[in-house]
Amino acid sequence: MERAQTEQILQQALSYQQADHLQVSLHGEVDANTRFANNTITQNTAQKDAALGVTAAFGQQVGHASTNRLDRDSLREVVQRAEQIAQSTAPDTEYLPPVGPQSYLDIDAYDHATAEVTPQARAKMIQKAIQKCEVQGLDLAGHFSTGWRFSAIANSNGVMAYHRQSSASYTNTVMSPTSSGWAEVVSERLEQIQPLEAVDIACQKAKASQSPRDIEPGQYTVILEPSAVSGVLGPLFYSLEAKAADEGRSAFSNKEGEQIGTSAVDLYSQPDHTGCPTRPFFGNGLPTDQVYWLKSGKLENLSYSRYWASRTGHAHTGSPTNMVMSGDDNTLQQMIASVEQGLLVTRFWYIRFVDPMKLLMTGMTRDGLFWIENGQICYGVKNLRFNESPLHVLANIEMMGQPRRTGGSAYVPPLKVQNFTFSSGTSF
Amino acid sequence: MQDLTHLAIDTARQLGVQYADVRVANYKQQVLATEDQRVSQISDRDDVGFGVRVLVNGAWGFASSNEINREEIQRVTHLAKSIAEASATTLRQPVHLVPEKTHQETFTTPYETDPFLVSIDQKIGLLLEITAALRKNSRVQKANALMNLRKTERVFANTEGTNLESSVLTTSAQYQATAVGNGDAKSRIYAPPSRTMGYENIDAEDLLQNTERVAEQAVEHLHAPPCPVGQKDLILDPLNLALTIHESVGHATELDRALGYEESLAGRSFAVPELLNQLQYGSPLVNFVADNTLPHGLATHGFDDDGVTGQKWDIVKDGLFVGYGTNREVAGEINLERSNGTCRASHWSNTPIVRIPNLSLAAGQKPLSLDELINDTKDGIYIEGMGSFSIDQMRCNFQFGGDAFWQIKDGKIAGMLKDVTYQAITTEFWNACDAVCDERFWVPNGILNCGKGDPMQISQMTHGASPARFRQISVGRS
Repeated sequence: MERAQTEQILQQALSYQQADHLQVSLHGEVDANTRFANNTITQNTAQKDAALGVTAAFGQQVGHASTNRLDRDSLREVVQRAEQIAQSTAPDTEYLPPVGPQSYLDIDAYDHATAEVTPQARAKMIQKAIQKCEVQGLDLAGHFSTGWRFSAIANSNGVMAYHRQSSASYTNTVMSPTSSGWAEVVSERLEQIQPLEAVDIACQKAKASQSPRDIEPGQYTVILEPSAVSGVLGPLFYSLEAKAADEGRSAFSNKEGEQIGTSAVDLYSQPDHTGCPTRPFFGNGLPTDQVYWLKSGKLENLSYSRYWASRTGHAHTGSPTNMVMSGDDNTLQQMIASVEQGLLVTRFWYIRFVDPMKLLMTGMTRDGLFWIENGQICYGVKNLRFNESPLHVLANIEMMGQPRRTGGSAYVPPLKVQNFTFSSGTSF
Repeated sequence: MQDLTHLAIDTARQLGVQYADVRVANYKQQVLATEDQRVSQISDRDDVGFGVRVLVNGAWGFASSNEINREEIQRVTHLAKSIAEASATTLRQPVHLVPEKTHQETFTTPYETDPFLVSIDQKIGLLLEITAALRKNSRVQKANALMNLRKTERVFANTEGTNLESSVLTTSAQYQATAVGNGDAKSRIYAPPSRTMGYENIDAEDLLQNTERVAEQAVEHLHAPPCPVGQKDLILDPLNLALTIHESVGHATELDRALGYEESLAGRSFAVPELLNQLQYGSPLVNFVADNTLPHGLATHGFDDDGVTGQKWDIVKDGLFVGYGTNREVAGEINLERSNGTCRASHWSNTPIVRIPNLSLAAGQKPLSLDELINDTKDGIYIEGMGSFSIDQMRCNFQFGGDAFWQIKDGKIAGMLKDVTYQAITTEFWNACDAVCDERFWVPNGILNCGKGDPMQISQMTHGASPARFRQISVGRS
């Protein structure tokens, strides 16, 4: 939906206001997804949706309702529904009235050609990928998605904002009878990604890890490729809530200002980062901006909601909008060459908290775990389960590589990490 | 609504497709939450749309939209055909749907009270009363309560002549107390089973009666000693087992996974078709029964999104691996004449895929109570509730936690432990099962947030179980 149409719908919804305050948001997408497995397309879909969310408040009494019917009657109904809910409930003591007009970053993340990719174009690319695998006797599975989404907000205090963003994501797993390899490419612009390079990388990993050898769990030096880094650091970004820390329910309780990682670690969110842009405003209407979470290894900021910022006197940061980590100029090959004995991890899978108070996580390696000896990749090994904390990772970085975009709005480098703990193994 | 589904089907027929179906769905959902004495969330969602799936030249195409009108239905049906034609360019083997009789049915969840007709005030009032009761314990620093109410209305039609309608209600409420101290924070959760029922599933009296116990156990959890490292006999309660069943049996026996369809995201399964009727999945005491007719089961929807009616069948019989969950596309791969009806889409915008059915560990045949099982255990841990969970993409190596951990010494509960995890390989774990309590202790817990597919689809299903014992399982290696 274009800006003008969203503004018309949002204004229409605001016109039905009876509550003290009204905030409205309109989110939608046009999305296409082509999945493939066993060297053929197995699912091929297109979807279009848009939904209006309404937050109404009478004093501190707050109600929220949403609908994806956008005719005038439905807009009136959803506003009334939110207001009725608000009037029949107890107060939300953390509610704050809507903000007034704001200035936002101008973030260009939309490419019309990416938004309009046809199913035929996706199928043609996938056919090339399949051919690359078939000639090598390998099986291909994966997902190629293209499309765009928009987000617009308005409130009864004068806020009106709009953002749109296109997306192209190609991920694939290549299988031999005894191994698998994986790679992905993600961008807001299809022209900036090379899906066939991801096929080559996954093929190379699958072939190099055939007949994987047994390996004992234990502590190893690891080279974590960017997807593994975003996987293991992601939970840290979700655990930065200042309120939980102040109430003693967080791994970051009483840690603000402390040295968490090595002095080379900068972790931040930057909505206008060209490598992983995101929208310029929060749902509450405040602008998103660059926020350092860790700077030179020190815990620079926790994430402060509007309410908690007002209560504590801290500046509002909002939640992390994307995950960016500074890196270094080292190539992955140079990093591997620096390892006497260790493991190269392509990515992790099924990462879950074990103990949030220690940020202890567990998960499995997947689609390419390699033994490194004397600076060379020697052979594939069977997958391992890790039980490790991103806090340990950040404190034990020996080397960084060049950052790269990964899924989940992350832009992170490969890392060389000492004493990474694997606790058990599996059969493949 | 049926005139619109017929329009999609008529349009598809005119386009000359091999097969087409259309689903129109309307989801209503209320989520209500309190944090201490604050109303932290009240949301009320109304979500409607339709999806058209077509088979052209042996390949699938699917398109969907939130705009329900005649022009959009025709546009989307044409788009689905165009997408299917693109799919066909890579085709290796045409899709073959196993036969299904045509059906003209309506399914409605049996219920007494429509949860959407209960006042917000009453629902929030209960949650606030719960969090207040939890905070009566001065050592509880945080109390949270949550209520989740869903209504899914669905109309399905296909080119074979099937026309179906369903209305499914799902209700649940749960709460958590958290104690903080000594640089740590530990919780205790009370989560009665989510069910396809009306508001009568929200048992206010039961919820309130358990607040004092839950608050006390949150505090005890905080001060408990950590889990020892080693091998222990584990007794798992039905709620803990629900998650272990889900991950290590439910997903492992989805036939699409086993055939590689989900490789790119969720992965595959060690339980390949060659092992059907060959693999000793568990000990002879282990019986897993799939049942999409289970009263109040979370996957009891009358029929699936292939238009196949709900059924009951064995997945593991006397420990032997004997069955899968299927859709009409993959059922023929293991020579089934009919799909067992586990094909579901979580949303009108998603194409349906094989989903875990209501899948339960059958109760033990011999009379056995939980107390008797504990009395019979010399050195073990009794684990209640769900906690951390992770499993590899072939569904072999897993690690689970729990919500409360009780040390068992010489047949008696000897206080709480904290930070307990157990690790095993799926078949080794289920083969270590040497006791299952009888049907008096069978509880139909379930999962409301099962993720599968790409884009991710969230689904729900019941996993009933009685407490069961597993000998010499690795614990505390996290």
